[in-house]
Amino acid sequence: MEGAAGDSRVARFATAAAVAASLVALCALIVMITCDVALTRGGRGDLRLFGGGGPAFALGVLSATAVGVVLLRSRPSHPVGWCFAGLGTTVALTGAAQGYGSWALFVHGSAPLGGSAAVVASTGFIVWEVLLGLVCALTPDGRVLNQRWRWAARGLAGTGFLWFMSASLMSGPLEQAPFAGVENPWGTSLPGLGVLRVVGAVGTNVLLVACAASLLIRFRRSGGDERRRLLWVAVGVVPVPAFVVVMFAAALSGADVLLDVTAGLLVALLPVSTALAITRYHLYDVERVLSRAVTYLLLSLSLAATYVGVVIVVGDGIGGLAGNSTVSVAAATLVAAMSARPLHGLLQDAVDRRFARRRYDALRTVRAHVAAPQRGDDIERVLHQALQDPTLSVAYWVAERDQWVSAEGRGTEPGEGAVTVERAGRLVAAVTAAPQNGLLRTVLREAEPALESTGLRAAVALQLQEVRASRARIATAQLHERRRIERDLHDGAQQRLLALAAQLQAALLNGEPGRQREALRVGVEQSRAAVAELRSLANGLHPAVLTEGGLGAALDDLSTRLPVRVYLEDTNRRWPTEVEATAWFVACEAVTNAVKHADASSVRVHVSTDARGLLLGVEDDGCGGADAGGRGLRGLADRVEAVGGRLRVSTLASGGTRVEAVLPCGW
Amino acid sequence: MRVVIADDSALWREGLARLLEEAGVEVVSLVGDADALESAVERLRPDVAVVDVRMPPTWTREGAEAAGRLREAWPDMGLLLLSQSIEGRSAAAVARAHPRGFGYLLKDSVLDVPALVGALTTIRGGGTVLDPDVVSTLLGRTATQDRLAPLTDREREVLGLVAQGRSNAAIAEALILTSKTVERHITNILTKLDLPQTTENHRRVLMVLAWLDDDTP
Repeated sequence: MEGAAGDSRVARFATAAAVAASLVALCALIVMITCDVALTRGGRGDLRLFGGGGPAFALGVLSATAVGVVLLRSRPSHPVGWCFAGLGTTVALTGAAQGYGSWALFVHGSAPLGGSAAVVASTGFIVWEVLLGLVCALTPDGRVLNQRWRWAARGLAGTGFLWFMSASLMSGPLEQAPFAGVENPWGTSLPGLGVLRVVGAVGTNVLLVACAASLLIRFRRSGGDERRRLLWVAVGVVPVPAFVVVMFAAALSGADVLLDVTAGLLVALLPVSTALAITRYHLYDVERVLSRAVTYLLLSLSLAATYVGVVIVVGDGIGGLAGNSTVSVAAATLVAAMSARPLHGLLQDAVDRRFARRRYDALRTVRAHVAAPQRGDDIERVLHQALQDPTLSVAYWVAERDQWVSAEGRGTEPGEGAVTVERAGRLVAAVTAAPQNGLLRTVLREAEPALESTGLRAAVALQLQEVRASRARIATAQLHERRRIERDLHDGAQQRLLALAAQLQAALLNGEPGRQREALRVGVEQSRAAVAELRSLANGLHPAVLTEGGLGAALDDLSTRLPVRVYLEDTNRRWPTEVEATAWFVACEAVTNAVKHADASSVRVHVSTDARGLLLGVEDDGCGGADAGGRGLRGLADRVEAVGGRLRVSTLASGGTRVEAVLPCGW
Repeated sequence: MRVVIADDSALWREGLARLLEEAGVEVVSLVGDADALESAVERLRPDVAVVDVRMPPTWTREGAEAAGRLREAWPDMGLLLLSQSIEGRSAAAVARAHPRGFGYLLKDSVLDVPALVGALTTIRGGGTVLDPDVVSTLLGRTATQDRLAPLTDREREVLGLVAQGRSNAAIAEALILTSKTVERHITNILTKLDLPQTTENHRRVLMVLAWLDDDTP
């Protein structure tokens, strides 16, 4: 509770600070613009803030303040947010002080506090340095690298304070333009200020460099997510050379606006990238962004070099002959355009190899497997290796079965947030892995062919497993059936015949004619009963009517015992024995189920023939609820599949059940 | 009366022969398959051939098929098919294919010797005999029962006996009725089933069997 209350207090305070920082920055910018206008009117346009470097200044203020505000809102207790808010505010105040000081001293001449403003404008940068150093020391987790670095941070703050105070209180003329030579109004004659100023300046600068170095040390020591966060900072640093080149070119060609905007962007980039590091923005894409950024930077530099090189060569050689610079420009454009694409591929590969080793290695591993799969090396293991993620798992989609399976054909489900792989619009697989989506998707794109072929193998494996399972179930069912028959024979006909034999034997021994006649009469009765029993037993196995009269006759027989209506395409048609037997079995089971379990009062059995073979349909008017996976229907499906057929169970619109079997007849 | 017995089980045909001989029927030959049956008939010209529906080589319908061929060759000879199955429709179909001197009995029924001899006599006289169990399955089918709805229970009983090939007198005796009552029942039945009136016994049987067999909805 206390922590939460403390947190909310910090959050409220941070929000207030963010609002204050925004207001200060805004006011300071207004002051700067106003002063610029006043300076121009006063004939000192050369001192305008926005004349040269102004946009960069404004962008610096805005980006630092904005990042500070965003961080204060989203991470109220993170010190870097405070640092940036402070940086934005002090830069803004320094700018305002410089504008006001310039106007007060050089245009108005006697406006109040002009000298003080000049002091602030001259020393404000010291605070910037301290804050920047702290940002370096505290990015990205808000803590210094270790105990030793805590002293560096404190030292930076301490020496910075010393430097700022001594520089502000030093008597004599100020040293920095445009206030060089202006007497410091705060100047005192305290002894040792000069020494302190030197000590402070040296200490602050050394410790600033040290703090920047701590960022590098932190990067070298880091791994995993922390490294990725630091990479966001790197993303902000990478384009610097490109900016430098553009600024150089802009300066040469006199394009002042371009120069200012570029400088402003450069200043804005670092706070933004630092904020991305702290907020863990799209952490897992950072490697991709970085490698892309580096590649495009190198590509731009290479193309620019190519362009310039060609212009020089052609201009000196052919251009000299033709006396036309258009030729050289056209040739340079052509060469640069033509080399752009291959160069991009080469550079991307080289960059990946150098900087995104993981991505490079992962892609190489997968590509090698797809190009020439090694025996016993399945794609899942290759992906484990490529992505260094032993928890990665692949589920393959078997469309015919509406089911996910593993590579071995066992039923499975993709994990949460699984990435699906499609090929030619068809769902192939779903890969569940630790989130590193940029790399994962790229690697999976490469692995598509291997995933597809493994998926096909998985479908075959699934069918094989089903066949095995069905074979096992049939074997078990047969065993049960045999035991039941054995029991029936043993308890029924066998006992009856034994009793008969005993009776006849007794009559034989007795010898009296009356007894013997009676024994024979009973014997006939008992043997008839034994025959009847055997016949019903045999009918249960394979009814005589099916053998003699075929499926139509057998179904008719069924309809004498159950409420079944039989519709035969051809009453006397005969089919191969096992087809008739299977159809009979399916019809019996389906009808019995309908009457027994679905409470059906009428069942319709249709038998017809087409190119696929015998078609059997059993529809009832019962209450439905057939479970295709249940033991009864599973056993039916097994029987049907054993003769190469397919069984389908569906629910009718009326609520009844329809069982359909297609039994191939080998024509 | 001279009889040939065709059955693939030697034990069964010997037993049946003993039974028939005890009852005064002359068994002239015992054969085990369809080919032997046909040559025995050609050689011995029996009055009735007693044939098992199931015979080698496939034990499905070789007997019934041989009976069909014998009918073609010897239209005057009686035929008694013995079957294991209590199924009505194919029995009715076979009976209709043999308009004269034909019987279809379950194997179990032949243990009732007087009934067996009575059946043989009817067949030899050109009549039709259908096993009572077979007829009751023929009448008991769901589809047939619907069509028999207009009949009273007594009429259904009479219809069953007609289908078995019984004469009016036999029916009257079995149901303990006067033959006049039986005649009236039969007239009612034929009217209700929309069949032409006929007094000739075996034409009536065939007609009833045809009606029972044809259950196109």
